[in-house]
Amino acid sequence: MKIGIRLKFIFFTSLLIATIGIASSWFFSTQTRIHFEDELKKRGYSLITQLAQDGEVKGSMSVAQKAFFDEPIRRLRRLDIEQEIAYWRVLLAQGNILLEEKEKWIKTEIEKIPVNKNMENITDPVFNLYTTGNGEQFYNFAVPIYEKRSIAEEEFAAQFFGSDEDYDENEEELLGIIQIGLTPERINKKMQKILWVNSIPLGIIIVLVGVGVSYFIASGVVKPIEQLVKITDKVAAGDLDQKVAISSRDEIGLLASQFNQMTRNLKQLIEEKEGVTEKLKYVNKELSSINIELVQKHEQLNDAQEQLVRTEKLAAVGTLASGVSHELRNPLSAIKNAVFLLKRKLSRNVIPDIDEKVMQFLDIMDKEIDRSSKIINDLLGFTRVAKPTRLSTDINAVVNETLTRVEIAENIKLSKDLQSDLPMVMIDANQIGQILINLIENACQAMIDGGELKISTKVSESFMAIQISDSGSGIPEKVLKKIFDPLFTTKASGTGLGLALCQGIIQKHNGVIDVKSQEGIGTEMLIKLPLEDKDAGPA
Amino acid sequence: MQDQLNILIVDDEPGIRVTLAGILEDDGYNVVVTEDGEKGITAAEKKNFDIAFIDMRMPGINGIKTFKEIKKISPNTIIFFMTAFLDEDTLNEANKLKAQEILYKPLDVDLILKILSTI
Repeated sequence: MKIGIRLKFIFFTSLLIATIGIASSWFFSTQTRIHFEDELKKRGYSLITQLAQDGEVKGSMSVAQKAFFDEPIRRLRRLDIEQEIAYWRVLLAQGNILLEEKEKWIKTEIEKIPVNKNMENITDPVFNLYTTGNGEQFYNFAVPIYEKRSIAEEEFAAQFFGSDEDYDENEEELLGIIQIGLTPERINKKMQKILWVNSIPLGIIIVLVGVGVSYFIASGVVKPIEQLVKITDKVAAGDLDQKVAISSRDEIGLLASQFNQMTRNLKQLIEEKEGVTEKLKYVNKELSSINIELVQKHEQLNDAQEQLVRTEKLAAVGTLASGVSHELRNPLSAIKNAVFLLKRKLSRNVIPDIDEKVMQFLDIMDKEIDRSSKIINDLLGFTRVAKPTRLSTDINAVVNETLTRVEIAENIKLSKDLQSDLPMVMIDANQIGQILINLIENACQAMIDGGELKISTKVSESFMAIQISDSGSGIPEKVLKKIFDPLFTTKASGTGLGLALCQGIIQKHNGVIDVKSQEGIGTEMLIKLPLEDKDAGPA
Repeated sequence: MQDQLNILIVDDEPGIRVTLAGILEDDGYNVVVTEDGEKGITAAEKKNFDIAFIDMRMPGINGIKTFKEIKKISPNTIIFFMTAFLDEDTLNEANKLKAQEILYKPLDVDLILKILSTI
């Protein structure tokens, strides 16, 4: 269970006040009792002294007559206004008890109260405190009674001559002892009365006042703390504009002002944090844009690397191809010369009765030599694309001229979309024509079962765009990347030089050649030639 | 028939020089064949040639040097270079020397015969 600070404070403060109250009451009642007891003692001494000095008592004792004591006892009881005398006893010198009586309300038997004896050489009254078996307490007083002195002159003389010390009372004769007992019953009652009438109500008042006072003190301390707790809750919930409105100059006030300061600092920190978060977001954005740029650069780098690899490959292939081609040219030339001579000799009928097939086979040889020669020329052309001789040319005219030089199968539908009024471009018409032938042938080969061949020209941005598309078998994605690589071919009889040569020529023209293809749908080749090229001069 | 033109062929490739000589002789020309530049020059010193076919790339004295030497001996000789190689530097040099023509191998024999018939 949670016990509030208010309850704790009230409890401990009340406990403290009650303890102080109880302690002071105890002290007060003890002092009062001591005072009462002293008074009782004084009264006891006074009573017994008066009794001892009563001449009638002395007389009565000397004659040992019990009845003579009636009057002195009555006087004694009259003097006892508070009715505190419990018992009285007269003891003769011989030790006999002449008289012993007690008040009726005293429970203890008179015989059980001890008798004062052996009081020779004592003049003053003796005090004892008796507590009987049944718990009754008695203030017991006893005084010895001596015979009345007759030599008054002697006494006077002794006083007069200053030899009082020599005067010896022991010389007097002991008549007996008078003993009286006073009961503290009245004091007890008084004390009880004080307890019930004064101490307990006072104690209750003290406790109540203590509780009240501590309640108010607690309220004074706890209220601001409760306010602080409330505000702390709100601040914890995120409302940093909360302020504790305590302006007292004590520790609570200090706590409140420091709490307010703390809240302000917290707010400032949070605002700073938000600022930093904003900045971080901004930095993050920048980073991601840098990242995008990096990715782009990376892609460009990859492309450049691929280009480099291709170029290196081209160079290697070029060296090989050029070496082999050149070496083949001499034997081809010799064979060609030989065939030429043989054919000429045969045509002049130098040798009679010759088989028809000899001539026919020589023709085949001649054609195959030309074909071999063409392959070599292609190889050499690819390894060494001659610098284009660029002249201002109408691209549509080149396209049309090319179309007259290629054979397009009957099952292929040709559709031309040549934009009119195209600007002239600086190109080597022979080289570009060669490319177009190559591309158109490729397109036709992809449409063995027929299809549509589309050729279009148009201006796109700062380029002249020539597009050749077919509805053929398309190129698989894996193959698509390699189609411009030299010696790469999917054809049974291809050299793998056609597209590499095309790319070489386009690059010499500072243009680009792109391919898009989807298997089963077709292929689209796009050539882009710059309209204005500083290498070529004005178009 | 044309006049008996004297023709010199200098080529280290036996197949070329033999077949080319065969064709030209068949056409009625006087043909001398040598297998390198040095022998070609020696031949030119002995005899005046109207026409010379010189291979550009040969072991020993190459086509260019052979050309120069023969031109020194007989400046009127018309010289054709033959080559299987597309070497731009050599071609440029050949052009500077004002050679009649550069013939690429495999040789276009019809073209050669046509040219010769006009001389």
